[in-house]
This record gives sequence, C-alpha cells and structure tokens, in this order.
Amino acid sequence: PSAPDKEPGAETIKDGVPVDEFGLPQMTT
Amino acid sequence: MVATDANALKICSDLKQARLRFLELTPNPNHEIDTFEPALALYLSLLRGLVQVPEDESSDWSKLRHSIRFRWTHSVLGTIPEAHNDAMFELVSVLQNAAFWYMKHAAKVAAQDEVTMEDSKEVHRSLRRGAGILKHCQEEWVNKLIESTAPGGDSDPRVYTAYVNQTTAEAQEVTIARAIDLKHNSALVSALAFETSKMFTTAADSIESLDEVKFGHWKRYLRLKAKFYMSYAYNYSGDNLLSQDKCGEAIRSLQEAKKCYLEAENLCKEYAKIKGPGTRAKPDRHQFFRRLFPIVNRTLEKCERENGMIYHQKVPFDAPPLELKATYGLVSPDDYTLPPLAPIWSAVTYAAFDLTKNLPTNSSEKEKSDETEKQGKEEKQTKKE
Repeated sequence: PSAPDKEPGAETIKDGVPVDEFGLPQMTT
Repeated sequence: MVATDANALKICSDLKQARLRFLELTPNPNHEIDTFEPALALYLSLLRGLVQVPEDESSDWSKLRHSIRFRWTHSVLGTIPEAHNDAMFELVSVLQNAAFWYMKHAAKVAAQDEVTMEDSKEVHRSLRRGAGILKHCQEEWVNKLIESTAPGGDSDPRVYTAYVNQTTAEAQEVTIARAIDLKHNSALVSALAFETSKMFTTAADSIESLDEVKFGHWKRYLRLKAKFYMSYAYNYSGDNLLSQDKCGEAIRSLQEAKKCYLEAENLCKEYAKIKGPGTRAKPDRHQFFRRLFPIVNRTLEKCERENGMIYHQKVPFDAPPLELKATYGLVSPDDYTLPPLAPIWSAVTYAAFDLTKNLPTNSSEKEKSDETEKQGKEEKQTKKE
C-alpha cells in the first residue's frame, strides 16, 4: 500500500465540507 | 536522601542528564521539533516520578516531591530567580519554557526569507502546540503548586491568558495569510481577522493591570496587532460589501479600515520607542504591515469612484458591523498530555529512595546552595534567550 503523504489530521470534514490542515475549506478548481 | 539500589541511582543520573539536555536545547529555537520534542518527553517522563507515586498515579504526591530545590526566572520579570523545594514548580516551569520554545521556533521559521507551504504548516503546528502546552500546564498543574508564585510571573493567570491568546492568535495569522493566498471569500477573511483582533485584545486586556515598566512593551505589541487585524477585518468587510453592491457601506467600512491602520501605525511607533522586555523592532517598517495600507487605499478609491459614477449611495455615519463568527479556520490550542512515566520508575525503585538518611548538614547545604546557584545562572540564561 502507498504511504500517506500528509500528517494525520491534515484533512478533515467540518459541517460536511472538507477542510485543509489550516481549517480552511478545500478549494475546488 | 539516599538511593539504595542501582535503578534509583540511575534515575538520579538520568534526571540530571535529561535536564541538562533540555536546558541546552531550550534557548535555541533553531533546533528541529523532532530534536526538541523527544528531549522534553524524556525529561518529563523522569520528572513525573518526583511528582506522583509510580504505579499509582491517583495516589498522593511523591515522597520525593519536596526533596530537591529548583530555581527558575520568569519570562518578563527579569533575572532574579524564584526557588521552590517542589518538583511541581519544576514541572510547571519546564512546561512553560517548552511552550515558549515552540513560540520562538514558530517565529524563527516565519521569519525566513522564503516561507514554503510546509514552513507555514510548521509555524501553525508549532504555535498550536505551544498554546496547548500552556493550556495544559495552567489547567492541570499550576493549581497544584503549594507556594504562590510572583505576581506577573509565568503562572499568573493574567500572564497565562495573554500568552495563550497571543499564541493562538498568531497561529490564526497563518490561517489568514493562507486564506488570502487562496482567495477565499472576503467574508471569511474578514471574520477570521476580526476573531484574531479580538484574541489579541483579550491578551492585552489581561495584562493591562500589570506593571507598565515591565509589561508595557508587550502590551503595545498586542494592541498594535489587534488594531492591525481590525483594519484587515474592515478592509475585507468592505470588499465583501462591494461585492453585494452595498457601495456606501463598503466605503464606510474601508474608511474604518484606514482609521484602524493609522492607529496601528501609531502603536508601532510607541512599541519601537518604549523600553522593557521584548524584541527590539519597528513593525511599521515590516512588509507584513506595510502591504495592507495600499490595499485599503486602492479599494477605498475604487469604491468612492464607483459610488460617484454608478451607485450614488449614502455613506453611513457608523461603520457597518463585522462578521461575528468565522465558520472555518479558527484555531484552538492542541490537546496536550504529559508523556507516560519512565519505565525505570517502578514501585520497588521508588521505595529505594530513603528520605530518612543522609539528611543535609550545614556543609551539605552550602554545597547544595552553590550548585543551585550555578543552575540558576544557567536557567537565567535560558530565560533571557
């Protein structure tokens, strides 16, 4: 299996929205 | 005190070495976290045996808790150390200094000429870690101290509140910078900036009653940051209002942003002039400070021009209210717990420390005093750094 490329908790879900390690919503292209 | 078995003797040696290593690392924020963290964990895992009874942490305090005298200075109070025969005082002081290291480490990384995304993450993480350690220390251990510490010292609730709010706010500064870089919507940036401003204000308010000579410099730093981020908040609020065609309100918001910026600039000048503990700097000359004013001015001019040509809206007398709560990006201190007790601390080893023997005589007290004086000098150097 491939190794993770982010530290644990780098991305999570807040109010159903994926957020990055700064707690900001993931930006879509 | 006599250590009557091999493991007990080893604990004494390990404690001494681990403490020396921690003190060696603490003054220098250039070390990597991966170097600092294990050294901290090692010393704390050993120190716990001087605080709590091994293998029964719900029990009374360790019989060794008051057997060693520890000496530390406080971060703002100068070079006169405070000494206590209490391992709890050592634990609290170590945690506080560890938190300070994380804060300084973050500042060091943030001050690099080129800050990468990974650097930003490290700054953010380091500040959250520092805030988390302070919070843990204050909530779990400071109230276990028997002797009260100095007013304005690092365990003073006012000082703690200032530190933890400052550290959290500084982490949130990283988030704001990231949000701006990613072009997140103006309402979010405004709300984050407003929250950050409030945290800096809370920090400043908490030390307002403390000695102006010692704390005045720090107060100015906190106040200028509060004003600066209030300016940010109004600037992005104005941008958001303009996007809703509320041009009159946008103008008023941007006027408020400009006013706050100029107030921050005055505080920067006060900060640069005032004597007292803290970094010598001229924040109003820093790029992070200077780049905001042209943005505010440019946006204000644009709004005024468009209002004159297109909208013709009335500019309200009062600034419009700011977003009250940011939905995303708010920082909280990390959860922190002490590392587990070192395995060498068994109940048998603990029992091998005999406090009834080898009680200090006048000669021993003199030697101990000399030794603690030497350590005190090391610790003063640590604090000064």
